[in-house]
Amino acid sequence: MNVISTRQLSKSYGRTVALRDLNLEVRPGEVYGLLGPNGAGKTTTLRLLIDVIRPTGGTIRLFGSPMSPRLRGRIGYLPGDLVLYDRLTGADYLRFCGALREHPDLSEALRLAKRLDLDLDRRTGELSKGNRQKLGIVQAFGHRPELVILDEPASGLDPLAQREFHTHLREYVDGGGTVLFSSHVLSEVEHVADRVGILLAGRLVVEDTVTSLKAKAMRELTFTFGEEVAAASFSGIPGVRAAVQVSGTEVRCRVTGAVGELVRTAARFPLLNVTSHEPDLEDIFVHYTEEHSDDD
Amino acid sequence: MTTELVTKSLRDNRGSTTGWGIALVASVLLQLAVYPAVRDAAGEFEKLLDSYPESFKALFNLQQSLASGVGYLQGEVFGFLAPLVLLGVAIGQASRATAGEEKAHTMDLLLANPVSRTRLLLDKALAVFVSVALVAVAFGVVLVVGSSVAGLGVPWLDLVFAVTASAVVALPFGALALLVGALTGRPGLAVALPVGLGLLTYLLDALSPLSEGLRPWRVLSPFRHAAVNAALNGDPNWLGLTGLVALTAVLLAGAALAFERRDVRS
Repeated sequence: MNVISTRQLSKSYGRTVALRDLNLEVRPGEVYGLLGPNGAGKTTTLRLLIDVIRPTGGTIRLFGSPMSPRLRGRIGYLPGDLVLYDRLTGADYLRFCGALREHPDLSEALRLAKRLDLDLDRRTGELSKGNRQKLGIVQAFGHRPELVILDEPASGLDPLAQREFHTHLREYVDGGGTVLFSSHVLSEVEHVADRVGILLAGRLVVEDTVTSLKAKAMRELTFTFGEEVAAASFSGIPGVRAAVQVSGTEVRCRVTGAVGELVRTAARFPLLNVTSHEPDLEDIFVHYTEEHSDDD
Repeated sequence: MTTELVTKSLRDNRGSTTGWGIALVASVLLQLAVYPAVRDAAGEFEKLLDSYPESFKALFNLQQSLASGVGYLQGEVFGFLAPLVLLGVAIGQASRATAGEEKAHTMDLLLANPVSRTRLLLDKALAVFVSVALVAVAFGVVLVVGSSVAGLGVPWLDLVFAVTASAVVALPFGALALLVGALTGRPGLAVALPVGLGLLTYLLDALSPLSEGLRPWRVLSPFRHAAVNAALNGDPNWLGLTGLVALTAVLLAGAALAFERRDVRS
């Protein structure tokens, strides 16, 4: 049984479709990264899951059941638009959450706060954005939930806090927890997610492991030759999407899949050097964005 | 009931409750302090009042002689001051109950807790009720003690009846504020609608004795059913007050239903 399972989940606001037919499966013990540009439907998806907005179509199952107040006690949530009660101190806030969740034991929250170097004695209204975000993260994990749903969790965190947070995520998952988070920071998703889903304009356009996505992704090979070589010599080779003349003796090719044929062709010329640019999620992201806009 | 939610709401409303409460208590004390002077000069006041138009007197509940304790309290305390403050507490706090959290963007995180929306709304409604009750109790105590010191000669039980009736009439307006807030998530609208309706129905009740045309409509005014004047004369309209409590319950049920179905504003 998957921790999160949606069928044809849709949300429209009047004629505006925010999310279309989402089938999302998040398995126990995995970190699932929901990736997409602003307005792609990431926050809509997470708010639907946490039940603060209601779907216009489709169903949601969490731990195999429809959402209920009781079920929410097993889930931690960090909203993208995090606002805390200004007048409460961090400790007051955690006590308030603990009482509502019938989990008065704050030891986990205190441990995480210490790890993130967060001062709990200050009023939340006096905290910097980064420290408020830390408190948001701490409250999401404080009651030892089985699933955490985090909307842009690393936003506002300094690199050190980000690193601590990512380590914590791994430990949490190793301890049996499950994570669904959204991000538009590709390096973050690449760093912590086991699986990635890319949302574009309300549609899940691709879903795969980071490794597999990278293997399928477009990469860039740049050839430097001892004499002038025309870029046109490389067009038409299987897998080559584009060949660009950088200078008279330099050609850059964008290629998907195996590169053997391309390299063999290049070797017929006096080849001095080859550089290969390892695809990161940014390339994958751009690739799918282009492909998606081609569909329209 | 979730104790934590109720106490937090009470804490959040502390400023409003004490502010309105102090304003009411201080005004009542002031009115009571000048009563002996008014009573001694009653003859002059009567002459002055006789020159006022009937509609004006109706508006400020100045139908009885100011020299009598009951007439004085009707005109100076229960006519305008008490409803203003008690409705102010109820509408002000109820309008912020859920809509305030939505506007402040704290509702998402609050609802992520294992508390149902109905529970949340009813707990917040309970907190508003407690605030209204606290202000009413302070008002009642000051009124009973002050009246006896100032020698108004009104039985204390009648004063309690009148305070109760004044507090009960505030409840449906508070519940309406909660309903509008639950329907729209907009605290401004949740204030404006009940305040407008409060003014309208207050005027309807106050002015209906002067106009044949208004009379059939006064049944629509909660102030008519609360019958504060009758309560002050020792004859509270229990049926009317029960009706107002029932109306409050219906409005609260509507608010819970509306809030359960709605998308929380982002």
